[in-house]
Amino acid sequence: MIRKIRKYEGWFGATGAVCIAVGLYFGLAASPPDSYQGEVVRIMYVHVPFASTSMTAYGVLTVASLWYLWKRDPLIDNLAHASAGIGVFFTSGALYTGSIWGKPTWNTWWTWDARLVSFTILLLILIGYLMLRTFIEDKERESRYAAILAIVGAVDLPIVHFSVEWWRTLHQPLSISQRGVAIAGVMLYPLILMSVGFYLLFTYMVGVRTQMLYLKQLLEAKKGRLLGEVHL
Amino acid sequence: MKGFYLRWTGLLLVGIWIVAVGAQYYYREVRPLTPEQVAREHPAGSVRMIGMVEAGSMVKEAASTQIQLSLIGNGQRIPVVYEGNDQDSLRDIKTLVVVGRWDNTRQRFMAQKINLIPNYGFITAAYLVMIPMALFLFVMERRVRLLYNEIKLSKIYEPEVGGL
Amino acid sequence: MSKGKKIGLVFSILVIAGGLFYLGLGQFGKNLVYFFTPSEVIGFNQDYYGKKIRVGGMVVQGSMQVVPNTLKISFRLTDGAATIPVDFEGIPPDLFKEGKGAVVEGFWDTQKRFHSNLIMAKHSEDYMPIEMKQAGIQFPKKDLLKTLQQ
Repeated sequence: MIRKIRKYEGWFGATGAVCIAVGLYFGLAASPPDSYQGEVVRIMYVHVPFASTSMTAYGVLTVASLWYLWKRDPLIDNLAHASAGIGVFFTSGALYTGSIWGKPTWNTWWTWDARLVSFTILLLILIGYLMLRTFIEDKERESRYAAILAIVGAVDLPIVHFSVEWWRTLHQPLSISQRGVAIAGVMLYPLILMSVGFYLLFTYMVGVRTQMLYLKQLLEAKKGRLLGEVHL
Repeated sequence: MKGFYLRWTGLLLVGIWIVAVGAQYYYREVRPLTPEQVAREHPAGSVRMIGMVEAGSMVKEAASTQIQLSLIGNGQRIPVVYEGNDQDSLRDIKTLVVVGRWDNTRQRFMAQKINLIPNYGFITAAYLVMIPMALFLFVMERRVRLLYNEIKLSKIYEPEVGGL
Repeated sequence: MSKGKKIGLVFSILVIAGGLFYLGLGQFGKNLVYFFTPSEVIGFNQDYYGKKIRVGGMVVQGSMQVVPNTLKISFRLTDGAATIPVDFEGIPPDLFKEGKGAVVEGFWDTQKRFHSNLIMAKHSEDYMPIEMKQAGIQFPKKDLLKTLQQ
């Protein structure tokens, strides 16, 4: 499995980089400004991919956690752990770009609306997950508790997604929903390109980080530090 | 390890190239002048000027499709005549970019187009998030390479074992 | 487990739990109603006078008046059913425009006027270039008034 990741991850990374490069060109130069927001709408092409990738990262974490509890495969545990680490990065990135988008459009960096709060809760859950993993010494228990935390925290995912539909928020409702697509074609292409690029890049990053965590464990186990606790 | 550093140097060069091209594009196509610069330099040809619409300065002429207004910035006031679409986007004390040319004989700016919310600083700041992302990935990849090396050196590299 | 790690664990759990508690119960619970609508504000009793609240609505077409040489603006805010007058002093956001959504922060006074010094623009979820807007193209989107009344 590690060998497979090693073999194929490069393709994801390379395709992702190409998608992002083309997406950047379309997003920053070739696409027109929005009729209402003007040039600032270009922040959308980086904010939305960051946000949706962080949701995907949490989704992967949840599925991997369930899988781990079922099969107890340590590599899947590494995958979950890796996904959480990268999720923290993407979630912070989404909050950062969103804040920068909010200032010129909404006139505020931050506000206590349902979308922003539930998304910040997602970040806190992820940080809590990583902390839990650092502080529990027993490998088996660490993985089990962390998986349970991740699965419980997954409640926040639909709340984040639908918060803009369920409650009054400052954040605009979903642009792509059952109502249809409310983004013009010329602006949708860069968005899709960047999103696909970020998904691919995320896959690549998870591949790299999973290897990193796996190898670290392998090394530690071989050095005898945790021998008998790691199931290799 | 050599190939790894080569690849990242290549990526870094591509990144620097993209930034250079972007900066060039910005200075050529996007960067607006301030009213003060326009008043001092009287630039020829089509230029972009950024400024705030002075409160109460907007006059709509009923007979024509022109709107008169004043843009202020850096303590300089420039009279602007705007003729074009999207006139309802104009508003008092709003900062915007007008595209047009300086009319030297009548000492005013003739604008045909307005760009709303020209906050390029915000856009740049948002896209800067790519830099920490690249750094993060670099550190992670390097770590993986080092771990593989270390495992190889300690002669315990047998990833096939256990069929993982 | 070493002592330092234990303290770290307890500390971090406290921080995370505190953060979640603060976000989840303190602010979030209160802010499920992120803003009130003009209809609700009109129906307020005296307890709400002078209290800092947020009101969301559409800026009525043609209602905006700028006091020359000041930063004072007055306009009316509506949710379709009720309309309230708003006095604002400050720099409005670039997206603040007649006929568009806005959330204002301030207080409601005994004269039934709303005083604010922070306007936040609420934009809709559709994005299109200027040419398409002029062509009158409409995308399927949630009615902004509906998102306000919800």
